[in-house]
Amino acid sequence: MNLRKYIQFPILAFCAFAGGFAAQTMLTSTPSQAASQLMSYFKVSDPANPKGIEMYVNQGSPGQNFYAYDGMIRLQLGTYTAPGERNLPLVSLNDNSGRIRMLLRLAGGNEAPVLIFKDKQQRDRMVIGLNIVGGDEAAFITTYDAKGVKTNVLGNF
Amino acid sequence: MRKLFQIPLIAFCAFTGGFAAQTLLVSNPALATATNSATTKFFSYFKVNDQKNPNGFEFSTKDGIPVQNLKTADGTVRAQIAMFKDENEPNPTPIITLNDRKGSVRLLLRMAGPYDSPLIILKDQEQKNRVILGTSLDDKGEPFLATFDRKGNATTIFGKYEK
Repeated sequence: MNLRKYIQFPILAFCAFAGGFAAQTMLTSTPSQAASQLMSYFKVSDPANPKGIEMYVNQGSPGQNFYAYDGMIRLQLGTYTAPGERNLPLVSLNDNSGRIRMLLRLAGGNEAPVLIFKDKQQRDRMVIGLNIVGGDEAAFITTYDAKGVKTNVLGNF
Repeated sequence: MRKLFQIPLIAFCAFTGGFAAQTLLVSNPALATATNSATTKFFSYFKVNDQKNPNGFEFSTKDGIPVQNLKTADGTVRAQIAMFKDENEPNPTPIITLNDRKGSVRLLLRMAGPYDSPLIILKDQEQKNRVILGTSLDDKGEPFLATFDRKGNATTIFGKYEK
């Protein structure tokens, strides 16, 4: 009887410890759970640039934005989401107003690489790339003047 | 008296159990989420994803070479920002790539050669270079633009292109 009382306490203490451990395990993510956990948004910032760099996956489409001090997007990396061009990657460089001025992307059925230079009005002024359709995938350079008149400097876009 | 003493001791053990679990089992991503802007944390691998795209963004550093991959839901790399190193480029050089649905590089921005000359390279579906725009790999850094046909014949539009 005395021995029973003697071992009762350590058993109770162990049960308490195990209970606390089990509760914590059940209610908090473990490393293995965390590895498979989904984190769809992540941000790196500091007080001088509260937006900083944000990374996200939205409806399956990954994107990454670099913000300037004023909160404007200045660089973006991501994929297109529209049906005809879904998953095609892009990199954009944006001006102080946040407008895209230089765009590097894959386009068309050929998933052809294309560099697009835009003016402040967001008009394409120079496009360098490989033909986006057809089998030859020939190189082209095309420029546009302020009125939108097209000049094929090289190849045919 | 003894029983009175036992109760706080058992409570303490329960607390210790919870504390031990918290310490041992807390995950790195959870730490990352809780990280505030004034804190620096180090990770050799990090991922941002969602249910529709479990691959998403992957960030990793291996042997000092940082790599950032943007992947589609099927796991194909569609864009990469990284440092690149091989026999020809013993010093790591930065690269940005856009990749097609097969994961093949189609647009490449990189530096090359002993003078870190900047280059833009456009590749066709067969992975052949079709346009190279950049500055020469020598110390003169002359700008050039070269195009290539399907057979690999080069046409220099301006400047001087040397393989």
